[in-house]
Amino acid sequence: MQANHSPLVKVNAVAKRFGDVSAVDDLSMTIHPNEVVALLGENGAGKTTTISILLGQQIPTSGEVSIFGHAPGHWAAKQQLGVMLQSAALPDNVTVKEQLRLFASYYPNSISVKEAVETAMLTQLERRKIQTLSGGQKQRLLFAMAIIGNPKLVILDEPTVGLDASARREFWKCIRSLAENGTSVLLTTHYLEEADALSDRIVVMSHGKKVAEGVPAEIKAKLGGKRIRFRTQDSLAIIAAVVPECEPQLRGDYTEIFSTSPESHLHALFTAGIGIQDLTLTGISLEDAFLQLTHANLNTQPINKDLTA
Amino acid sequence: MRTFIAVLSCLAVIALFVVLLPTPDDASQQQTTQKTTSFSLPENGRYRLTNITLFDGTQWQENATLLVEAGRIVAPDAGQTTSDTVLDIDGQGGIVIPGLIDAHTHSWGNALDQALSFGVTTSLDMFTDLSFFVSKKPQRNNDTPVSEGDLFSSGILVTSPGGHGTEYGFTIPTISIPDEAETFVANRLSEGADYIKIVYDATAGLPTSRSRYTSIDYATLSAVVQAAHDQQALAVVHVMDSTSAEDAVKAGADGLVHTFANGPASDALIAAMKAQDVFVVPTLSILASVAGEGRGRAMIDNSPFSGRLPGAIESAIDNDINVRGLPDDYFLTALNNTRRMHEAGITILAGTDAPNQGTAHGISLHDELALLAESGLSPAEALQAATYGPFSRFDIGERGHLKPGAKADFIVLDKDPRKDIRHTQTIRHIVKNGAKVPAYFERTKNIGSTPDTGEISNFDIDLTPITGKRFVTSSDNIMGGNSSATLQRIENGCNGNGALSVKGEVGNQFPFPWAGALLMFTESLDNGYNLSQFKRIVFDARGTEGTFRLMVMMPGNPRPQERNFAVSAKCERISIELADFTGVDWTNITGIGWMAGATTTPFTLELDNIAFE
Amino acid sequence: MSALPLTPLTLQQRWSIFVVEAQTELLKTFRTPAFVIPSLLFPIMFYVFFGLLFNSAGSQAGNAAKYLMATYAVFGAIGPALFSFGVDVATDKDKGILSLKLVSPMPLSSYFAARILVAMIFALMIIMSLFAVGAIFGDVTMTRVQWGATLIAVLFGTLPFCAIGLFIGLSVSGKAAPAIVNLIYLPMAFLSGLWVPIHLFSSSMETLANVFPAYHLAQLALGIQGNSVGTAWYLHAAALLGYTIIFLALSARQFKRIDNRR
Repeated sequence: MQANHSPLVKVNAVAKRFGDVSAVDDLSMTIHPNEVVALLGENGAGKTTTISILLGQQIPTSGEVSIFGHAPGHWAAKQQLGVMLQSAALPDNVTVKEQLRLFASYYPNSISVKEAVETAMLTQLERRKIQTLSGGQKQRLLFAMAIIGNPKLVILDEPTVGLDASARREFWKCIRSLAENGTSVLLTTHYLEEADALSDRIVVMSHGKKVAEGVPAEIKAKLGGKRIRFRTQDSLAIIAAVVPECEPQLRGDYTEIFSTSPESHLHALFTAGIGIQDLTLTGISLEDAFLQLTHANLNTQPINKDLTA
Repeated sequence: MRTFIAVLSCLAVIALFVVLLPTPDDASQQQTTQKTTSFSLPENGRYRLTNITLFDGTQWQENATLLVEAGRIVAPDAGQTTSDTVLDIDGQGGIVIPGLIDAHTHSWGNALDQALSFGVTTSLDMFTDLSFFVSKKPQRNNDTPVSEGDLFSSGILVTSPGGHGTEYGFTIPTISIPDEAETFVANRLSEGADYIKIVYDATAGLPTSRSRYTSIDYATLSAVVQAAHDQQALAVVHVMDSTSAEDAVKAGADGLVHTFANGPASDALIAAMKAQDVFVVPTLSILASVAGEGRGRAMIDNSPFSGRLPGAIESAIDNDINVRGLPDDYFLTALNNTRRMHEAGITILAGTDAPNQGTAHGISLHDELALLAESGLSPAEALQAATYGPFSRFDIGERGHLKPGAKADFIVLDKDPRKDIRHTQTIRHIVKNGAKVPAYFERTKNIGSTPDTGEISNFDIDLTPITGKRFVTSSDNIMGGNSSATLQRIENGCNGNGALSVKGEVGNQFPFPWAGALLMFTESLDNGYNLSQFKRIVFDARGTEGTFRLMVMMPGNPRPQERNFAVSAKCERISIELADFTGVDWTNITGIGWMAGATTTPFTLELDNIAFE
Repeated sequence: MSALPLTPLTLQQRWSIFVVEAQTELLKTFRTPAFVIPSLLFPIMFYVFFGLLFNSAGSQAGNAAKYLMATYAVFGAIGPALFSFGVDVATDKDKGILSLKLVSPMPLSSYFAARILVAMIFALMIIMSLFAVGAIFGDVTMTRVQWGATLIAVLFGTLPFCAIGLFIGLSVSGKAAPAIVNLIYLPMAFLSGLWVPIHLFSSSMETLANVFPAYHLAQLALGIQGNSVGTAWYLHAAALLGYTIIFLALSARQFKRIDNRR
């Protein structure tokens, strides 16, 4: 899509170790102009460490990182970058406008406070003190702070964590309007739905490793799983013995299994003489697939080999 | 831009704030009125002071009584026998200490009167005009009421030709060789000297010396000390440095009348002083003035004296000598030397060297006690340094203590000096020879007569002033200098009519030369004019290009205060604010002088249209 | 995308960032009356109690009022310096505000300069209030030069305490910082002779006081009015400079650990 543009961010074979613990392992990725990339993974998958490395807060143990052609933390990189950190809180006793004016002053090419407020859907709230804002409004203020410098790339670390569904959807609108203006976005999330809704490309991480990469549809296609749901008199252990790769789970009265080839698994269950009632077979969401994918990776199931091959 | 304006206005507000803060000059001179409950002592001089805390020179006694008869302290049982005739005087809980003794002064003029008004009942002078000493000497043997402190003196000091002591404009005998010692000392004692004071500077004549004086040599010093001892007189030595001090002790001196600040005292010196029981009068007051410690100013601003001092005394203590280029720790060294000598058990006596610049009779001794306390003496020890100490070292009769037989010289204090030695400044009453004498704050202030007009003269007719007695020439030749001046009325002055013309030369024989015209307000130097209703003095002047001085004379203060003014060949109206003079009490001025200094000689100065406004 | 002319921040840009940063800090601080009022009132209250009421009985009332005016000015001025840096930096660090600012192009100099300015404005208000109280109720008089010099000495004497506060702020958590700062501030104030004159202490305690920067600042201020213990002023100034350098160096080491994420 932007093949003729050189990438904004290049990460090449980066690893970061904290003592014995490997937080990031052999990670390579690029971000191109006008691209929204989602870094998807569970808590502890190494997403935030990756962001830290991109921002120059952490020095990688090995590998190379360049951001706008500079080393992370270089002033030229900082001037073209907007950041929203996962752990960042806001000061009290300052109004939205004052806080934005402060951050606007840091950037030589900043946009107006009004423009940032509009993009972050904070109009009417400019004069409010920060401590009177709701959680969603605070996140959008942090977002406004990230974009006020008119950056080429915005890095959003878990921007919607802790928000309810409507607040999250409002936030998405903000990110979409930003992407429409041609700004590149790198966001981390553990909501597959979010990555699906926002990103052009998803990089899936698990335990510090990149386990999958592609457009959302590609990942869905690769996973292509279904959820099989039924009631039975037989115990979970018996079912697990029949379909060990499916990790059966009890949900109330129902037993649930995930399957990439439901026909053969159902066949196996019937053949084994399991008494099945109230059977439903549904398509699996990307989120389920993601969970399934990372679990599988953890348990070194065969499915994992397919994906990392 | 807006930021800069904001910053500037903030700074302006801060500056304004600082300017509005009170400075010592405009400090409100409010003073808690002293408890002046009646304290009248019977005229027959026989009374018992009760309800007091007593320090008799060695011991403290709470709830004490003091029996006084005929100017002396008498034993309590002596009073009991005739108790019916003894009047009890309520001391109202006051603290009674012996009248203070200043062990280093130079007394003339009203020195003894001023000293007494601060409770200094005895002065041990270390060189004065012989005629003054002789005239004051007899009254110290008097036990009837007197109005001045008592004086003991070395009379003329022992110094070399051109040595320290010869610079004051009157001729004194000097000594050059050891062989003259015996006769020299005998002459002093026959003149009436109570002890022999020797000036000695081992560094004089050395290339490193900054002194302009010569000094007797060690052999002469040694011979004079020996001669004094042979003739049963105490020999004390003026030293200003450690080497001289070591020499003086080696020569057998009984006491050093200064400490020194050129370096720490050697252990050997301290040991020798201890072994020979040599006392020291550190005169920290004068060393503080040399170092510019501002002690006088501090007393003017913040002490029980504040707001109650006569202007002459304020001006005397306000201006330290403040020698430039001294090491920062100069005064600290003096304090430390005193401290170490005290710790070694050497007797320390309190003396001020008043009235040298920065010190004044009486008041400075109180500050000397505070300085001794800073050198590590306890308040009681400091008090002894001005009472029992001098009594036990000098042959001055029964004074410096309040045991039976002593002169009834004492001070009643408000607050206990054992708590803080500065409480000696809380003077309630002063008693000399058993009779109450007015303390400095009880003196009726001498206010000069108010002139009808501030106009002095336009010299259109003659040189007679409208206000004031007459114009006279004034120069340092009264002090032995070689400056001179003449006065003349000229016809074509500044406005083409009469003016006063002063011509003269300023010589170099007196260290602080002057020559010029003096307007005397009265013939007596004791009382003058009250000029406090005027704001400034204005006059037209022209003459030799340079800086001249306007001098203001006050009664009882030998040193005039002065302000500079510039003169050029062109006629100019000069206006000097009276408020610009420091330490001048404008309620009593004896004269105003227009003087040339060393930089303008020979000079002419034409004055016209002089007036106070 | 347009090719933006990227340049390092010019001095003028740094200045305007400093101005906005300082404005924001001041607004934030003055909207916290719980900090402002005690900071301003405590030194004045202490001064009124110990400097004016207790000492009005003494014969040297004016001098005691003057002496303690200087030491309480030092006491009042170093408080905001320690707290502004110690507590606020610790809180900014804990909340991640500092991290966010550090990954932005904000120059660190502007951040610290703004904080120093806030501490100094507090110090200025405290000094001026104490001057006013001392002058009006304590009959304190000094020459203009003495007033001005005291103000400037105490004002700039807060710098070493900014450095100490910075070190504390970077070293401990935001929750612990107020306790730690108080643990250092209050005993140091007492042992440096800020509450009661140093000469009332035993000589060993007087010697011990040399350890504390507050002692040196107090002696510097007292030297101006001629009430110091007598050590030359430049030795005190050198000691303060030494503390500043030491704690700035320690802070620089500590700065690398700001990132609180593992």
